[in-house]
Amino acid sequence: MALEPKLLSIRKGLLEFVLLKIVSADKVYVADILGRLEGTEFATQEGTLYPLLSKMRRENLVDYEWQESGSGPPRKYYRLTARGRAQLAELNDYWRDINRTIQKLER
Amino acid sequence: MNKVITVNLNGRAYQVEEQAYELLRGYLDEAARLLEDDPDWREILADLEQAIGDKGARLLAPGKNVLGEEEMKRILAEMGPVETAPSPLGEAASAGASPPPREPAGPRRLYRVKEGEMIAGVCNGLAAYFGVDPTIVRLVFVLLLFLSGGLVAFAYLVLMFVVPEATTAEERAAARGLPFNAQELVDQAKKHYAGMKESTQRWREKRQRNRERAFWRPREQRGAGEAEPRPFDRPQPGYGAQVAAGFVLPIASLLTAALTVACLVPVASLLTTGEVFGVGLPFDMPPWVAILGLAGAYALVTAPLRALRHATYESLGPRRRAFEFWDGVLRIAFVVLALWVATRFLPGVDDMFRSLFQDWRETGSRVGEMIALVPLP
Repeated sequence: MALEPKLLSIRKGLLEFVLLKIVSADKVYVADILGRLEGTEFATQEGTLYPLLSKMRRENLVDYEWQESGSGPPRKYYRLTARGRAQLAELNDYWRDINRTIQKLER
Repeated sequence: MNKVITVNLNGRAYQVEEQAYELLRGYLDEAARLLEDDPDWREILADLEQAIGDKGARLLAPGKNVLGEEEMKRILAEMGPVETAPSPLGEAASAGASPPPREPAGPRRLYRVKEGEMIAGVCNGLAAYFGVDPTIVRLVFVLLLFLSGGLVAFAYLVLMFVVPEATTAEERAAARGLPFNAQELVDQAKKHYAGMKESTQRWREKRQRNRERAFWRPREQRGAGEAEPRPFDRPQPGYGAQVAAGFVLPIASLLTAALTVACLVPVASLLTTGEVFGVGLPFDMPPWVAILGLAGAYALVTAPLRALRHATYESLGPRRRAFEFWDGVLRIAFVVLALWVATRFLPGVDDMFRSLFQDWRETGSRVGEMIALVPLP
C-alpha cells in the first residue's frame, strides 16, 4: 500500500515530539517510555529509542541520572532540561498551528 | 546438547547457547556498524547490551540459567532493528529536494576483476580501469604477445601476482571508478590531504572501538585457537599493502628457497666427504658441529624472511589462504629445481649426491660415526 510509507514518515517525524511530551510529565526510564507508547501509533522499540534519546541528550534536550532499582542494575532515568522544555513549548505551539490550519482547510 | 558461551553484557555475565550467541553477536555487530558515525555509539551500545541483558534476566529462573536460540530470537525481536537517529542538520538538508548524491568518487585503482575472466582477470581489470570492452584489451594483449615474442606473457605473470584481486564491493567499485583525468587526480590529492588528519582520528576511534567490542566476546569456554577471526575483525588491507605484498612475497619466498639450497648442499657435502667443496673443516671441527652450525645459521637468517612472508600473508586479506598454499608449493618446487640444476651442471655436486644416495649404508655408518663422536657427559 502506498499510504503506509507516508504515515511512517509522519510518525517518525513526530516521535521526538512525543518523547519530549512523555519525559516532561515525569522522570522515566526506557521501559516506562516503551510501555506508554505500546499499543499507540508510536509504538517503538529499544533499537530505535536508545539512539534517539542519545541524540536528544547530545542536543541538550533531555538529561538522565542513574537510579538504583529494586531488582537488577541501576537504570537511567530521563528528564527534560530547560532547553528541552522550551523546545517542547515551541513544538506544542507549532502543532496547534498546524491543526488549526488543517481544520481551516477542511471548511 | 549445546555448547554454552558466557557473554558480558554491559558488565554482567550471561550464559547463552552457541546459536544464541551467534544471533546476539550478529545483532550487536550490526548495531555497531549502523552507529558508526554516532559520537555516542559507545554509550548506546552499552544501553542496548543492558536492555538485552534485562530481557534475558526476565527469562531466567532458578532452574534455568542458560538462554537458548529461541529466547534470543524473541529478545532481539523485542529490541527491534537499530535505527540511527537523524542528525539535526544533515537530515534536514538531505531531506530537501537536493539531487541524489552522485556515485562516490573513490580513487580508481587497478584490480584484477574475476567476473568473466579468462585467465586471472588481468585483462578484465585493465578493461574496467580504462572503461573499455574487455575483448578489445584481450585482442591487444594477444597482438602484443606475438609482436613482443612472448615478453608480454611475462608481464601478465607479474601483473597476476602484483595486482590485487577485487574482492569487496568497494574494491570492485574502485576497479571501475569514475572517468579518470588529471584534474580529478589533483582534486583527489587535495581532498585527501585535507581529510588526512580527520581520517587518522576516525581510524583511531575505530581501532579503539574494535578493541572494546571484544568486551562481550566469549571467554575461555571456547578453545583459544578455535574461533576463526571473521572478515569483520580483520580490517581489509589497503591497496598499497596488497600491491606491496605482491612484490615482497615472491622475493621473500625465492630468497628463502635459495637459502635452503645454500644450506642443503654443504650439509650433503659434509655427510659424504666430511669436507665442504673439497676444503676441510678448520680446527679439526667434527662434521656434526659444522652441520649444527649450518642449521642454526639457516634458522637465524631465514627467521626475518619467514616473519616477512607471514606479514604479507596477513596483508593479503581474504586471498591469504590461496597464497600461503601456492607460496609453499612454489618454494618447494624452486628448491627441487635448484638442486636439479646443481646436480646437472656442477660435477662435484652430482658426485656428492650420487654417493649420498648410492652408498646409503656408508652414509649411515658415517652418520653413526659422527654421533659416536658426540662426547657423552
